[in-house]
Amino acid sequence: MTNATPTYCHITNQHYTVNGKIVENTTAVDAQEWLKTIYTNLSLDYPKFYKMDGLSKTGFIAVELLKTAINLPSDSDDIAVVFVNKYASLEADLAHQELIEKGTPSPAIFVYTLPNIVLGEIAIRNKWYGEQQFFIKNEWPEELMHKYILTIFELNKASQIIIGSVEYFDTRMDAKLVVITKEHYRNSDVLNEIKTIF
Amino acid sequence: MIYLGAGNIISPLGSTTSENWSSMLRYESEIKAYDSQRSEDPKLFLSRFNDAIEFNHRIKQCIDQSLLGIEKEKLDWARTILIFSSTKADVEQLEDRNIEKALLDSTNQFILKHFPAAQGITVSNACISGITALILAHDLIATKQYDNALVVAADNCSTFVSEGFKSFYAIAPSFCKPYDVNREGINLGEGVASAFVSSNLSLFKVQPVLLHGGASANDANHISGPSRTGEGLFRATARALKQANKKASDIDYISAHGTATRYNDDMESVAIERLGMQKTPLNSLKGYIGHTLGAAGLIETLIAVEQMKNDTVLATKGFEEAGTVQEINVFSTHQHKKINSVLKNGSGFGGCNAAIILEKLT
Amino acid sequence: MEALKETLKQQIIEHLNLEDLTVADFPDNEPLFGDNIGLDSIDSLELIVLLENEYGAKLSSPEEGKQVFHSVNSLAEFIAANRTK
Repeated sequence: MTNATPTYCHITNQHYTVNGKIVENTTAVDAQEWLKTIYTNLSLDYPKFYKMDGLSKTGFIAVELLKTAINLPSDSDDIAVVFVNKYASLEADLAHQELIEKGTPSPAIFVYTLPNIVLGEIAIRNKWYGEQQFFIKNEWPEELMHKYILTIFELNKASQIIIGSVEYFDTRMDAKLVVITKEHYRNSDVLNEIKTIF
Repeated sequence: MIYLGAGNIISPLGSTTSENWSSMLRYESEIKAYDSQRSEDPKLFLSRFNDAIEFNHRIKQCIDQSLLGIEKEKLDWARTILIFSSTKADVEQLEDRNIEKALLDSTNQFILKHFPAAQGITVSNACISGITALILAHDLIATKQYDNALVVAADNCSTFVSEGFKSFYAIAPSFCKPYDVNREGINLGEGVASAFVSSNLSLFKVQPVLLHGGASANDANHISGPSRTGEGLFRATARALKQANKKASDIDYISAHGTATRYNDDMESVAIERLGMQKTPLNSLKGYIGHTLGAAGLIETLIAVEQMKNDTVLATKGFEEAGTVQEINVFSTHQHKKINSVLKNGSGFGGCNAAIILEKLT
Repeated sequence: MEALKETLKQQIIEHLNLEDLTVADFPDNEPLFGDNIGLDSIDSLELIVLLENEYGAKLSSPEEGKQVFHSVNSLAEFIAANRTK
């Protein structure tokens, strides 16, 4: 069954929403603590979460929020996950840079100095073997993302695509993800809705 | 029909594809021993440029060379997308905390300043970035949303990366030995490549090859350790063959990843065996140019094109004795073979895998 | 030795970001890479870093890690025998 409107979520340092409804607000500013709060709220039993860097925690939590509103089956080849951001993995990059300047590099930090690792964490959690892509652009490339989504569906690369922007840098966190199905894609009203989400 | 051509490679082996190809035919490499950041650490075997050319500038040089292979009046920049592939771009800027210059999009914007494509986007998917850039180019053109793509890939051999891989004990103490029983890890390398993908055959001055598209897949297993079942590489390759309307038995040569770590090379052999391609001639180029990270997918695809043109499968430099858990057809001297269809595949950190199919134009 | 083991458990939890675990979850003989504690390959590499930074103790190769990192007991024994800090 297809949802008439696509499912989406938004997380920032101050709040998180699912399908436009605020789930919780906060005045606290620490992004890491806020992510842990949301993790606890979602009653997730997934210790690997604590090892993730900020970008991976953010993307991971965003997908878990989507899962509260729509069924995203695990063990699938058919769900594409595509993220975009400006800063790539810069938060982890700077942490790694500091450690190598001290002479004490850490493998657990270094592994996160690639933006696509968050896609790997999500794949592992959900057993998703499908298409993945990490794009870098200084602002959300609306038109190009529409073109990309078209390629996924026209070339039968997936039946659903989770797509959006996921950023974590310099104390600022912001993730906006939407789940789009082939049926959504064919409906141009829905495409306009997606435009307003972003 | 979608074509790949006007490719150029700049690596420590040479500033053109032709120079790189000639060096590889002579079994040469520029992999040398360099001092480590800490003097008490063993030497690092790297393939590095030893000049003062800046990262962005070398990229421009490479694209200028590619454009010599294009009929310029047939190139409509308004129908061309720029796809840039890199893992860390100008990461050395972080040493001085030059955040803006370190951003991958900054390099993309630099390229757009000099080459007026309608739109630019950067892909950053670890070591499969170059292959995913080609897949994206193919798919956007196959769906008629662009007519051409300028695909550019580049990565440097930085202390940032070498110190990171050292903490993984992934760096070889000497020259790397892909698929060999005595392999002990990677040699890092650096390089730039550029090429055009287009639906317009007359764009190319020299005959291009057919680009059939491909696919990516995640292992869904571990963020740094390859899947023991080669899950993602198997699925990406199987899906790429399907996209290209080909069977495994149609493939004449596999341009594989072969980083020379114990786990990666074993994993690849498992995937190859699951695909029934144990007898298909295969090689890794890491022994000639090192592991060029985000540039590898494109550099190695362009060398695959040279191999196709010359019906020659290059030796895997550094390979002497078979040492993967499953059998693969890898060898230590160049082999003459008719090559019509090629599979290029690869894997990377994050459990990502990708594959793409090329075919000779007849 | 007991004091070392207690300190070690705390250090492992902090260094490996095992925020959902406490010292009580680490019986001395419990396999660190088994189902209960469930460390992985990156944790193994991080333990090498921990040994060197906190205790100045070096493994001869990552493969030696399989025995040394088996449990808190084996780790403590190795440190006691090889520490330079």
